[in-house]
Amino acid sequence: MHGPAFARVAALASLALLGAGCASVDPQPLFDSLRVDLAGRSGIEASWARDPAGAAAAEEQIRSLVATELDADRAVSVALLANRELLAGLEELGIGQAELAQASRIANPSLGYSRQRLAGGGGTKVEASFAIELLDGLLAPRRRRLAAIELEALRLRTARLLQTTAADTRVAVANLQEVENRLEALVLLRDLDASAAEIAKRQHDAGNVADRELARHELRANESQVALTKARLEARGAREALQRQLGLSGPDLAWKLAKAWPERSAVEISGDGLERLAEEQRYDLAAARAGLDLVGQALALRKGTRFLPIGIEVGVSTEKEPDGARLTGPTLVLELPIFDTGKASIAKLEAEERKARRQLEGLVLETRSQVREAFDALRAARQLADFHRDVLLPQQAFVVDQTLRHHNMMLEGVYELIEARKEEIHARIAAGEIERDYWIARARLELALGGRLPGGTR
Amino acid sequence: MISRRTMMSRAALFAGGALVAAREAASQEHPPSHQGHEGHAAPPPAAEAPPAPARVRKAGGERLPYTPVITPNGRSLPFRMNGGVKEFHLIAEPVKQEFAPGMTVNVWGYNGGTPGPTLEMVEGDQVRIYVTNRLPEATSVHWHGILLPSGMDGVAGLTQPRIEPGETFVYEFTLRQHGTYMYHPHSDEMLQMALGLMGFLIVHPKKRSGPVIDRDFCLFPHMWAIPPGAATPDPAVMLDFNIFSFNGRIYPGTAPLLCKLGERVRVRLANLSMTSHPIHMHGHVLWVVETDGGPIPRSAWWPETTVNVPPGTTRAFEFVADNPGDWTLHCHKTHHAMNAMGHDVPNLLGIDTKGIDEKLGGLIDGYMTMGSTGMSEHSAHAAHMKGVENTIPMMMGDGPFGPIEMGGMFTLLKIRKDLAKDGADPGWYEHPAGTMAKKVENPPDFGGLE
Repeated sequence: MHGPAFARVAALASLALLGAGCASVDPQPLFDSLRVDLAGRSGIEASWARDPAGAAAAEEQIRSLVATELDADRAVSVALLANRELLAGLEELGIGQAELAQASRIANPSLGYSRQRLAGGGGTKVEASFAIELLDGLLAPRRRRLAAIELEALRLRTARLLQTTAADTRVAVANLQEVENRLEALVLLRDLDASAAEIAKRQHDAGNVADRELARHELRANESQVALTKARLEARGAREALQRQLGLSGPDLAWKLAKAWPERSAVEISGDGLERLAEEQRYDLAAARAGLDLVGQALALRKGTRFLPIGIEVGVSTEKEPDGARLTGPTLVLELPIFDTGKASIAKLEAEERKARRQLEGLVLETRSQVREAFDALRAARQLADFHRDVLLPQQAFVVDQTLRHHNMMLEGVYELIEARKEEIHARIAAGEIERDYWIARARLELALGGRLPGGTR
Repeated sequence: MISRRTMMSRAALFAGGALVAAREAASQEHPPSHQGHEGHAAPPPAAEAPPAPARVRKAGGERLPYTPVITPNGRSLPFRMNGGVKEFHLIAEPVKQEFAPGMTVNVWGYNGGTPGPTLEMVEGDQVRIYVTNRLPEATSVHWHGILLPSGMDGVAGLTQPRIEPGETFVYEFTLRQHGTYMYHPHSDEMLQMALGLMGFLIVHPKKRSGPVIDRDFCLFPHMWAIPPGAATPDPAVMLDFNIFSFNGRIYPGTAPLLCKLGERVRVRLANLSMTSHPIHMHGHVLWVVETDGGPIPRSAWWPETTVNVPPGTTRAFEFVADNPGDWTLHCHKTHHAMNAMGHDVPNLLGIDTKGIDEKLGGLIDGYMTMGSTGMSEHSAHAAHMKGVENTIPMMMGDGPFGPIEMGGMFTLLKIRKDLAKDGADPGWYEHPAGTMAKKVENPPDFGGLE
């Protein structure tokens, strides 16, 4: 069939094509907006290597970061570049963007053609038809709006994933720093016990103490060595835990960690308004709100269309009879909601909306509670850390100095002096644990807030 | 044979001289001062005015009919005559007393010191002793060895009510004996004596018999339990004392006893501590002449080089200072001639110390092994090492030939041909040629005799 019939079909087809809208599959703008948001909210630099040039740039960045000792900030930078779970999460943006694009397309039209030959000669019958699903096209804008909301929710969840990865990295760094510092202290403790055992041995050689006395000292030294060995194992485990956050491989695995704790900021964060701030700015809350909105809009859409035909297909078909007669005309197919009036699907959507509402409420409560808990933990850790630094450790040092003085005057002996020094070192270990707790609490509060701490400096 | 008159005038001379000497000795002692608790390095400040214990001054210029005793680092209590009765005023009070430069102790004493001032009286005297209590608890005073009416005996609860804080009691009795006696509390006695309440009570004979005593000293050894770095004696301690004093001073804080060559010297000792003290002196034979029971008959005097003084007794010995030089006078329980030391320190004597100082010094700043060759090495370092507050090294003293390495119940007795009139220390003895032990550069060969 040719001629004006096909011309009409073609015109209808191109109209459909035009009406399809042009949503892009490129997630780059989506990621860019995420990166800007995150930089402002959390001060972290997100990057996404999507091509070989980008991958090479990322590799170089990682290499230069790993070249010097890692601290918490540098470790976070590495994790944002190399953590595979995070990178996989970024790819979700591409998926979501494509789904948005998909939602913007209307259903393809259908084209039909058949040719039948009359048996015994005498001509052929040719049928051609073209149809498009009209409702799909009519509803496309609303469908697109829903997909856009879904994509926004995905963008927010991805931002949350980046924050979570950064927080988990900070926690792993703090754990590793604590155990590395503890190792140094345990080495000192082992050396002190070994010195005591050595002196006891020399006493024994000179005939001044009995076998049991010597054995007791050597036992203590051996037990210190065991504690050190166990701690070394723990340190290796903590290193692997951080490594899993960092996602490094090959020569980069030889990264070194800075042992010194960062300076605690002089500014103390006030607890006022933190809960409200979290409620306002947390990405996962915003995503949940978007999710609720999505369900609400889907429900409205479903309700609005429940009594409409489920399908409206319009088209045109043309037929040429074997005798040469041509029949051409429009077609209309309606799918009528008679048996299924959409009651079930609406009920389901309504339930889902209520569920989404409850989940949002729960998330808000949990957010506030997390903020309260994390702030309390931070404040307590800060006070304890300051107390160790300002009171406990100086007092321990004083006791050691005084014991040295007693030793100088032969009022007390060398073993008592060693014990006093060991006690001081144990206090340092405790201080290191508090320091770790502080930095972990800080990371947790930032995560609970959904952004960097207000007013405080890193 | 010296006439009585010559003797009396000589006695007066001696009295004057001895009184001056006694006052000098007292001023050598740094009275209850407010020394800071910095380490032992700082020399004591010039004598400050003591915080005001009340003093009863001797009224009038009585000529004393006896050679007054010298209480090194102490004094005799002035008295006044009141209608023929000799009156004294004792004040029991808390005192901060310097035991040696660098160590001040919170003691309980009489009239500003421990031991309290020596009470001197004469057989036959009627004495009246006022006792004012400025302690935080009740007290009493017992006159150890004195024969007197039961009610004057000073046993709180038994012979008299306690002297409550703030109260003043009066004791009155007539001396019918002579000898070396003591006075001390008999109320919470263990604690009050542990804190330092005690003093000499000397009763001179009415009529001298026997050789003239040219110089008469009183020494009160005592023991204390003072935790190093602290300043208060612990009265609960029964055995583990760490500070040992003569007249409330520890060497090098003890004032030397000065004698002129040829003098007959008497030294009186008293003991209210928890163990006996065998007091030893070098260079002379000591004749034990008296206890707190009274004078020993001459034929029963016995010779010692070391006079043992059990708790609750006094002993007096005499010698002629015929051997010029610098002599030591000390308790022969060797730990009593040390200042505070640790008795539980590990014994490092004889160990190989190679590498220890480096290894442990790297772990503990300032560490240095102590005692591997003995304790003398320690005392050499003690002067310049960081020490414990209010504590002085266990071995001290710088002699003319090097460190003396003593402490505690240790003092010097210096015998010289001439002594300065003002009682000033004559310095170190100048040994005549050929009378000193000297180093031999090339020891002779004894041909296997060893």
